[in-house]
Amino acid sequence: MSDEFKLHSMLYFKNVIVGSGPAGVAAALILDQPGTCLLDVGHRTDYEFPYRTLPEALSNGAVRDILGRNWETLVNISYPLNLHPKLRAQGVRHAFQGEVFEVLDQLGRLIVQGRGSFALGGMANVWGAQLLRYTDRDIAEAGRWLIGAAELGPYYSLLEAHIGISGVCDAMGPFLGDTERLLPPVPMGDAARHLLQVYNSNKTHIPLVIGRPRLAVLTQAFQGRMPCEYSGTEFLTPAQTGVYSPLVTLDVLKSHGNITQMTQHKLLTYTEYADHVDLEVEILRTKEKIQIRTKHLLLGCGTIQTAKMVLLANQQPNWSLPFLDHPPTLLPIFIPRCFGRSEPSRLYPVQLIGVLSGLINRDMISFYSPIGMLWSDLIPDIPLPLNAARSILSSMWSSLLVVQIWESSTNGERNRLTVDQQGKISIKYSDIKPYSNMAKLLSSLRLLGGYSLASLASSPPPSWGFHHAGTLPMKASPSLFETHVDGRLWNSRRIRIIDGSVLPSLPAKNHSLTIMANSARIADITKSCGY
Amino acid sequence: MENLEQEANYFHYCLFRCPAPERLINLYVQFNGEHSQNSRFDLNETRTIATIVRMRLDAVGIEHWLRRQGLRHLLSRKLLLIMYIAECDSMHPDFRVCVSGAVCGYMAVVSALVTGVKHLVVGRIQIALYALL
Repeated sequence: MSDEFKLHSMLYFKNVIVGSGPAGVAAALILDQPGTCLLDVGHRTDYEFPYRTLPEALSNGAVRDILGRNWETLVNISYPLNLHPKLRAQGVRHAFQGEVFEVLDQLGRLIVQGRGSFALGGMANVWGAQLLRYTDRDIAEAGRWLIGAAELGPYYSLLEAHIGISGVCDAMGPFLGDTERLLPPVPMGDAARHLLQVYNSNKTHIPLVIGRPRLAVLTQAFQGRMPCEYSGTEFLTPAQTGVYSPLVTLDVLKSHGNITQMTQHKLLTYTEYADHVDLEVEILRTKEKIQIRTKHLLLGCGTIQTAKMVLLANQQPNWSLPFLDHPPTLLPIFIPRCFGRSEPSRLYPVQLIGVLSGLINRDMISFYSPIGMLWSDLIPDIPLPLNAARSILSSMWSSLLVVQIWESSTNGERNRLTVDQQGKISIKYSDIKPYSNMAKLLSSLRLLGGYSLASLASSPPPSWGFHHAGTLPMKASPSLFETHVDGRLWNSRRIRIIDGSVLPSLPAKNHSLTIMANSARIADITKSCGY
Repeated sequence: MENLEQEANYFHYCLFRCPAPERLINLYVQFNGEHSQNSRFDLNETRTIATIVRMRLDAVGIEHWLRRQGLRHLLSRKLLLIMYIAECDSMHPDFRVCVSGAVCGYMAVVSALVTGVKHLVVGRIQIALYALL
């Protein structure tokens, strides 16, 4: 039997990958051969932001292009922080029109309603592009991992060579890992440059290590792709030029012509048999249902959607699964030495990365320039009347950075995800505590010349940053709703989970590249499994 | 409609000390028209808005004291709407102009702090005086 053919009315593929997000495309890179199908709902946006840069749009008075035909960007006027600023604009809305889920507090009260992604390329259309390796120390700190950095290493290298990572080898090298062939780093603004200069001249006395970030942002042409334009439109348009997203890999795979890409197709359910898996798939344009048969099914629909799919396929709604998430904290900092400098025009938002030293479990600290944000997004966070806050921003804009802190996820076992009989997804969070190392961070920043107050820190609602994982964690001897180290479900030979669901714990670090590397590792095992 | 225009004009004046451009007023009215059906209005908050506009009170000073987490006060929502439209509208070219020079920068910060404190005091007094909620 060949690897791809039509059997009566049923399509047959050797491998079917579901989901075109980071996990799906990483698996597809490894299984780039005839007989592989990449299946995805594949929402795209039909809106194109008509300006090249944010300043251009502002100077043209493009009120409705920026704020949205239906005032989408103003959703936070009523409820601040409910929605990540990157998800508000009209042009990026398609990235989160997937499964609806409710986030509840420990008493079961609704905190916020979220949505997964059915977009082509997944939520990565709007990611911050910090693609970082996990080191052995990260994995040891987080605990419960059955594989080490060595197992992921070859896949990290393969993906980094495909994606193009910018950065430098500096003091953050041991934290960030051994990325080979780094492209030059992204440009630095005055505020970040000042912090780094002070750090480099006093580093032994400061309990904070900082350095340049590793970013999937092209600072020069790379493999036929154009460099980043630093347009300041990160909050308005998806998949920016020069910023890697899975759409880049989809284009590469398309040019190879090996894989069958089926967009506008939604997997409804699957049934596993001894020598194959049958999929029931809906063609979204026609509402027609078709059957697909495959030897290997690789599910990469995203932590929440994959969990729902597996629970329903096993007829176990109401079962509760663990749910990992990074609780983020946001803190504006001001660098008085940079007061009154001109507004930087061309920057990538992520400027620096840092980690407090002397902690057993390290937290990742990213320093963002607010370059792509509207001032009106920040003004209400300044504890002054709005007109005074605007005047303050006009002198402080170039001296402002926003620190985002990711803590390691220690409460994953206590957060629970359930799907009810009607398919409604609820995620109940355990207690959410404020960031515990704030005093140490503030004193370290002061030594660098950056000032802030603990009272200015904000904690967005759970799930806000979409760092989800751990619903179907890998275990050495998996039981119900757990996975083997090779990605197979506990009760399966042919169904493998390739997305964040399988991560057993979350170090305090962006997990996107690790999801991709682990997916590639599982795809490689699938390729050579011999059945 | 007339109330909304009055509101937009007055709130714009409170924020920028100049008359509102007609385009901004139109957009303000348009937003309120498109969102009035979906918005929940608290009677106390509506009354506060009416009192501020009628008595020409210090809207920005009052807003600071009524600002809160979760669902924002109606006054915050209305002032922020003006802010957003003003920022995105080229009729306000000075909205995002940065002060240049360290000395000017520090002076602008001090001046903004003094102005802010003045509004805070006036706002606090007016809240007590007019029993604004």
